[in-house]
Amino acid sequence: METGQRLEGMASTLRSLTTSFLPVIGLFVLLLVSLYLMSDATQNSERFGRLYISLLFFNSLILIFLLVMIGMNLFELLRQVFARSPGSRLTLRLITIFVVLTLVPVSIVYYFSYRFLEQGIDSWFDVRVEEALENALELGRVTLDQRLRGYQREAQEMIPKLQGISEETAALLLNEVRQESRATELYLFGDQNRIIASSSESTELPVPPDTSQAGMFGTISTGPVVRLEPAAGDVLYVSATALIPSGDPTIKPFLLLARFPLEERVSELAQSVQHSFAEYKELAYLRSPMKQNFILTLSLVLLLSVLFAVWAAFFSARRVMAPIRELAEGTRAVAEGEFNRKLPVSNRDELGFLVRSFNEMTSRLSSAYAEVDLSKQLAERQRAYLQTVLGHISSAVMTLDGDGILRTINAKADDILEPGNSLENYLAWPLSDIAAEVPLIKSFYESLQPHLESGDEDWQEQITLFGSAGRKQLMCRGAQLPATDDQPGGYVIVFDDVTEMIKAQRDAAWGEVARRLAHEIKNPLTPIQLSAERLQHKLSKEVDSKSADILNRSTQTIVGQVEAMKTMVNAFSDYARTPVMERKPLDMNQLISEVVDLYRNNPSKVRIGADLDKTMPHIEADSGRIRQILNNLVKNALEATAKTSTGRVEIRTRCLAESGCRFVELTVSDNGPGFDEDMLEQVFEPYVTGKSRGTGLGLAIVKKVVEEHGGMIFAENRPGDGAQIRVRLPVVKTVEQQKT
Amino acid sequence: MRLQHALYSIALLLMPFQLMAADKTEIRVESMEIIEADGVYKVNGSVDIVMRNPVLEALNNGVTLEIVIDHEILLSRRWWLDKEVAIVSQRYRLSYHALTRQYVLTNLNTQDVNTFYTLQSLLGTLGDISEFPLIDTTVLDDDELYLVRMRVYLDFDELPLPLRIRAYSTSAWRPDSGWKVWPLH
Repeated sequence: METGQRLEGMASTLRSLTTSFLPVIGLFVLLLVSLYLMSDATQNSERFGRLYISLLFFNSLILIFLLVMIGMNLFELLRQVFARSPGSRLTLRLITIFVVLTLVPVSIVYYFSYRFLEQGIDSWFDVRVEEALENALELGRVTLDQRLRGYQREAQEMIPKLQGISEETAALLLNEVRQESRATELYLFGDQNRIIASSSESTELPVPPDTSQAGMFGTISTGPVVRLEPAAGDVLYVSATALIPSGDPTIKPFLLLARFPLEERVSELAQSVQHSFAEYKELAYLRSPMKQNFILTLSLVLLLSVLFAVWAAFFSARRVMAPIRELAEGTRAVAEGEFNRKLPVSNRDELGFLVRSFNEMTSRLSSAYAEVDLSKQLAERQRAYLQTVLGHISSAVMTLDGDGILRTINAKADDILEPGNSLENYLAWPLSDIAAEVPLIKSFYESLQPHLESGDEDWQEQITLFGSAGRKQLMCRGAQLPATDDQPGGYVIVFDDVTEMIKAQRDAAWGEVARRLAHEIKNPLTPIQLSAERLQHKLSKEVDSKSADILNRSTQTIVGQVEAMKTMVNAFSDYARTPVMERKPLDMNQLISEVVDLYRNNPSKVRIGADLDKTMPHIEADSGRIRQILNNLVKNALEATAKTSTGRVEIRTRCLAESGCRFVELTVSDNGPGFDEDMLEQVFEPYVTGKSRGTGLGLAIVKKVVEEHGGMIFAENRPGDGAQIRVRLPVVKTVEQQKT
Repeated sequence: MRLQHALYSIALLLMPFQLMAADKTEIRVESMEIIEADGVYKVNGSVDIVMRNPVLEALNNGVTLEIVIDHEILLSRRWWLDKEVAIVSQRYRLSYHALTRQYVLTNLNTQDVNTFYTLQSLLGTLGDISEFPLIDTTVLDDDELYLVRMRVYLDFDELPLPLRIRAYSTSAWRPDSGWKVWPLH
């Protein structure tokens, strides 16, 4: 892990070293200089020849450095390519192009340079040239040989002058002889190459030739020898020997060594031939290593150039690709929703322009996004506002778009359309699909369909639905919404449950009828009854018994029917009477007990049970009217159960806990035949009765009283048998507080 | 007689290997002697130089060779590395004079030139060190122990450039006797 980090750090240092411009330029210049020096050195220049090996070493180091750099770059690039990082593939392609563009010309140059070197160097050497030089050398030798013989003669000519020389006089004599001749140096050797005397032109005594080496000079035994001798200072000397017989026969002869400088011109020419030949020979000998040397230099130069070019390719590709990669990354970020991405603007070219445009784009996108966000928030706020308004109005509201898809619905619609769960769940559903799921909406939809399809702008219709609580009258008003560019306008539909209102209206109408009828009918009834009684009273004594009998029966019929009619009219008038309520706190349970007591001993022996909730709060009600309700209900129940042998009536009270005890509920149930199913809907309407006798106003009055007290009444059949009437009366708060 | 014949055969068989093993220029310090004369330490010695290809070929083809004889006087120290007191270096140039068909030996210190008909005689002269003055006796401390070491080698840095590169890679171009050490007293 740590090693990895260190490597990473090292790599990044190297990368920073190689991404900045100056080190690269510096390295390039260094490389160029060293290559120049090397090529100079290769040509055997004295200036840099000594540097060659160090240059070779230095360039090899650069070579290794470049290889390492390229290797690292390549590794990094391949890693990026495999990781699919943005821009890496393009970089790879760019580098491949660079490298190919570099390699092709360099390879061509290399090939031809190689050929040229091979052939060029070989062409320097020619058999004829070599022959010529050798011949020149040979010519020189021949020419010199002739001259040497002249010098030898001169040396021989010295013999008579030195004849009989002794060791004591030798030096003097030698000097004399030398001055007479061309010789610059004379040496006289005795036995065992011992120097006896010498004479020299220069004051400085030259180093005597070393004669100890066998074959170097002719020895005394080998006789006279002449030879050419290269000496310091690039001159040629001629050394010639001569044997000087000594005066004393016991002593071996002396050896004279005379050194003559070769004539300057001849010496120069001879040395020139020698030098040229030597140089040519050396060059010819060095041909193969030199070629290798040139090729090595060439290869190194080209290899370095190629490697440098490859590295430069990496370098420049990275520089070129950097803004593109950043752009790619930026684009990706923008695609992922990061709008505030800014890229560094590095240069002023087209890429820089692109980057600036990108930055402008993101800033615009960012501000546009902010605006959208703001307006979305605004819309959301408005929607919430609308939702609140819609949720708290008493009418149900729904909107459909042009395709009949539900867009808005409020809570009141749930109450009316009874979807089972909230209609909010069906938002964005087509209304036709919702109709398939919710039965009430089916008939609702069917009733509205003609308006929706015909495209009425504004309409109103009353529709009837059958819900769980019975028939529902709905008042619907629809209005078309303004169309948008590509969408036809939808509809807003506002509807109210007007069932209760219609019922109230009908009840009011009935009451009015009853009141008038009672008034109109009741007035003539008393005169009719009185007149009939008077007829009977006056005429019964004057007619015979038979007629009196008829009269009696007829008047009694009249009086009876009038009585009956009076009862009926009174009932009417009770129904229609405008209530004068006297509300007082009332203990329902006590009232119920009283009423039940009245009916305990009923003739049909029906058992009456009471299950009263002791904790029930008082209500505020008119006790007389509540008593009337109780009477009616109990009487109805008794009548319903009169025919059964085990008739039973149950009265129950309780406080409705689920509504927070805001209502008390009174239930009167029996085990009689129950209501007819088709009558159940209209059981509270006047003149609807299941009994053979009765005005049909009993339950209508009960309902009227309950509603006057702000309560509700429900008629239903019990699951087993019998009917059940439930009455709910509101608990007045003050009364509740009084009790508690 | 038979045995002699067999041995001769074996020697003949082995000869190529021996040649191969010795198939390069050799420089060996045979002997050395320090003498004191006239207050100066002098060296007498004999260096055996056998010149073979490729150095021999180069010389015969006109390449100039430089042979260096290094003498170093060291102060021997018991507990530490020896200290260099003096270095005396003798440098010789060997060349072939094609016109006169002679080998030329130039002492680069004195610029003395000697010519030889054969390379053997040149190498013999070169290898025969007689009374080469090293150092004044007064310079050295009598109580100390001094060592003299000698090394003879071909200075390949003086070869022409193409050969120099070969010399770096091939030991045949770098004949060297290595250091031989003698006590001074």
